[in-house]
Amino acid sequence: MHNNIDKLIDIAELNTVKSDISLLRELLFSDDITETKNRLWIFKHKLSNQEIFNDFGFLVSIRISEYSAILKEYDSNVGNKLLKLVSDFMIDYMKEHQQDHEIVRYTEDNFLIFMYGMNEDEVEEQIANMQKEMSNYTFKHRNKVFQLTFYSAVMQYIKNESFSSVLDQLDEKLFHQ
Amino acid sequence: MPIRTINDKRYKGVSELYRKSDGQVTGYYVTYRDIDGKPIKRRVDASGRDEALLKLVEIKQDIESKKEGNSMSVTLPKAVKKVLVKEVGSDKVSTVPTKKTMQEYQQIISEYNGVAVVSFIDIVAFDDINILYGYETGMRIVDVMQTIIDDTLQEMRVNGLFQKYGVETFSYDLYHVYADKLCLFIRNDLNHRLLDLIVKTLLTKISNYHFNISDGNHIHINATFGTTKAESSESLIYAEKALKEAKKFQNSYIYYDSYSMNKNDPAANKVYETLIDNIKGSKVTPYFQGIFSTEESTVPYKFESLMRLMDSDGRVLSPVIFMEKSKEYRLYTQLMMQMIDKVFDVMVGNDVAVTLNLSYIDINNAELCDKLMSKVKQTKVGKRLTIEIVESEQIQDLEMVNEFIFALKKSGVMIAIDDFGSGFCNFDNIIKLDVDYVKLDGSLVSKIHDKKYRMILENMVKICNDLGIKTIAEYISDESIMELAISIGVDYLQGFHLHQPEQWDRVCESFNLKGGTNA
Repeated sequence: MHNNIDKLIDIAELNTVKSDISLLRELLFSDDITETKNRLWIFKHKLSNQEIFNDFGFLVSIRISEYSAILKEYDSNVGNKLLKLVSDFMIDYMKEHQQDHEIVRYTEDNFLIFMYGMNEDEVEEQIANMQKEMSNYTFKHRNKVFQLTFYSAVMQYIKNESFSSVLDQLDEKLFHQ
Repeated sequence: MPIRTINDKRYKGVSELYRKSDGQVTGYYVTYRDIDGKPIKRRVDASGRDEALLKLVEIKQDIESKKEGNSMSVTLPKAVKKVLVKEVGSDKVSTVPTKKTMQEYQQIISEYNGVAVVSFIDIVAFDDINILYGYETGMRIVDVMQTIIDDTLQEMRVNGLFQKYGVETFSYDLYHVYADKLCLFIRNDLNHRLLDLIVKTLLTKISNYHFNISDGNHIHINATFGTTKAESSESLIYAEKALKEAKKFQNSYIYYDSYSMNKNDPAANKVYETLIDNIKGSKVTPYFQGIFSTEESTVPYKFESLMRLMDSDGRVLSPVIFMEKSKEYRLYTQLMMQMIDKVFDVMVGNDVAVTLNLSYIDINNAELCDKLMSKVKQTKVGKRLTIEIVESEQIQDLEMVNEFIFALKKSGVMIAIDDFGSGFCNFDNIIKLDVDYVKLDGSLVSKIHDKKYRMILENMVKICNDLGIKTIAEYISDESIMELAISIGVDYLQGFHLHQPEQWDRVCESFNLKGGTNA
C-alpha cells in the first residue's frame, strides 16, 4: 500500500519536474523583452556546430527605422515597450496570414524571421504587406503615439550554408536601402 | 472711497472700490481701451470680481465686433504673441497682441525653422455649451481659456519649473483657430517630460476652473490636447492627427512622436497613390474564398468575394492596408463600384453562389445601392447572391437597413451578418434584421479549444438554429478547429485550412469549375 502511494508521489513529482524543465527550456530560448525567440534558439535549433544552417528556407532581417533616435529622445523603458509592441504586431501578422515561420530578436532592434514553404516572391510580398500595414498602424504607449516602420532584406538560405555569411549579405542589403 | 487694483492676475483690468474704514468692497471698475484705442475706466454693476471680469470681457468683445463690423470673431483666429523671457531685475512679460487669419498662423508654424511644439486644444462638448448657454458664453469661455493657459505658463515659469528642466526662455503663440479650438505654438525643443508636465498642468487648471455662467453659477470645462514636436511643416498635420486620436479614444492628451513619422510619410503617401492607381487603372480585383457545408468539405457551397488591390510592383495588397485609408481619403465608394461590377461579371459567367460584403457606409450610399439593385435586376443572379453586412455594430438606422434588405430579398438575395458575437448589439441586429446567415466572430472561433469559448459558441449556434438562421464558422485554420466547429453544430465552414482566397481563374483550377458549379 505504502509502496503504491510512494510510487504515485514519485510520478507526481516527476511530472512536476518534467513541466518545470519544459518551462525552463521555453524560457531558455525566449527573448527577455518580446514574445519572440532569442539568439540561443538559432544556434541550438537552426545551426549545426559549425554554425551552418541545418535546413532550407528564407531569412528576413528587419530593423525598426529611427529606433536609436527614439531611444535617445525617450528612454530604454519606452524603447523596450516599442520593441514588444512591434514584435507583437509581427507575430499577429504572421499568425493571421498563416505563415510557417519563426521570429527571433537577434540584436536590440534587429529581428530575424525564418520563413518556410514559400518562394522568394511570396516571401517578399508578405514582408512588403507587413511593412505597409505597419506604416499605417499606430503604436501606443501611455499617451504617446508612434508610427513605426522597418527596413527589411530577404535572403534564401540552404542547408550547410554559413549563417554569418547570410547575415553579412543581409546587412549589406539593408545598408543599401 | 478709494479704488485699488486686484493683485490676482486673473482679474487683470478689474479694480475694486472699497471703504477705507473697514475695507469692504462696494463696487467695481473696469479698465479697457475703446474703439479708438483711448483708455477708459468705468464703473460696472457687479456683485463680485468674477461678474466684473465677465462684464469686462463683454465690453471688450463688443468693441472687437464693432471694430470688425460684424460678429465673426468667434470663427476668426486670435493670436496673442507672448515672450516668456525673464528680463533682468523684472518678472514682467511683454505682450504684443496681434490678429492673424487662419492661413497666416498656419504659414507662421509651417515656415518656422527649428524644432517646435504644436498643440491643438479642443474644448470638450463646446457645441453643448453654445446650445445651452448661448454663443456669447461660448466666446467668453474661449477667452477665459486663453487667459488660463497664459497664466499657467507664467506661473510655471515664475515657480522655476522650466528652469528645472534646463529651459531658460521660450516664446509661444496662442491662436484661437476656430470655435472650440486653440493652438499653442511653442518655439522650443522641449523635453517630452516637460511637455507632459505642461499639458497635464494645463489640463488640471482648466478642469478645476470655475467658469462663471450667470448669477454666480459656474460650470466645469474639460479640454483635449493633441500635441506633437517636429522640425518640419508637417507638425500641424501631426498635431491634428494627435487631436483626432485623443478625441476618438476620449483621451485628454495624446502626443504624436515625430522621430518615426517623417520616415513613414513615403509609405503612407504610397497608399494614396496606390488607391488612385487602382481606381484609374480599374485594378480592383475580387478574390474568392470557399464556404463549405459541414457535410461536403471538398467543393465549396458558395464563395465569399474579398476586395484586393495591386501595388505598383504588382503585389497583392491586404485589405488592412487600404480599407481604412480608402475611407479616410473618401475613395472607398469608387473601389466598391469596381468590386460590384467585377463580382457580377463572375456570377454572370459562372453558375456559382457568391457573397458580397457591404458595410453600413455602403448601405447608406444611395449611388452604390442603386447600382447594386440595378445589377441584380439586370443580371437576374439575385438567387445566387448573398449580401454580407460587415461592421454591423455601426448600424444606427435599423429601419433603413431593413428597407434595403427587403428590397434585395424581393429579387431572391439572401442576407448574412458578419462577426456575430463581437458586440452585444449583434444579438439585437439578428433579431431586428431579417437575416438568413450569421458568421460567428472569428476571434471566438479561433479560441474554440477553450471550453468556455466553445460553450459560448455552442449557445450562439443554438440561438441561431432556434431563430431559423444558418451559421458559418470562419477562421478554420486547422483540422482540430474544424472538428470542434462541426461538433457544436455549425452549418458552414470557412478558413485557410479549407481554401485560401484566390482570383477567380485560380479558383476554377482549384475546384475544376468550367462554366460553373451549381450553388
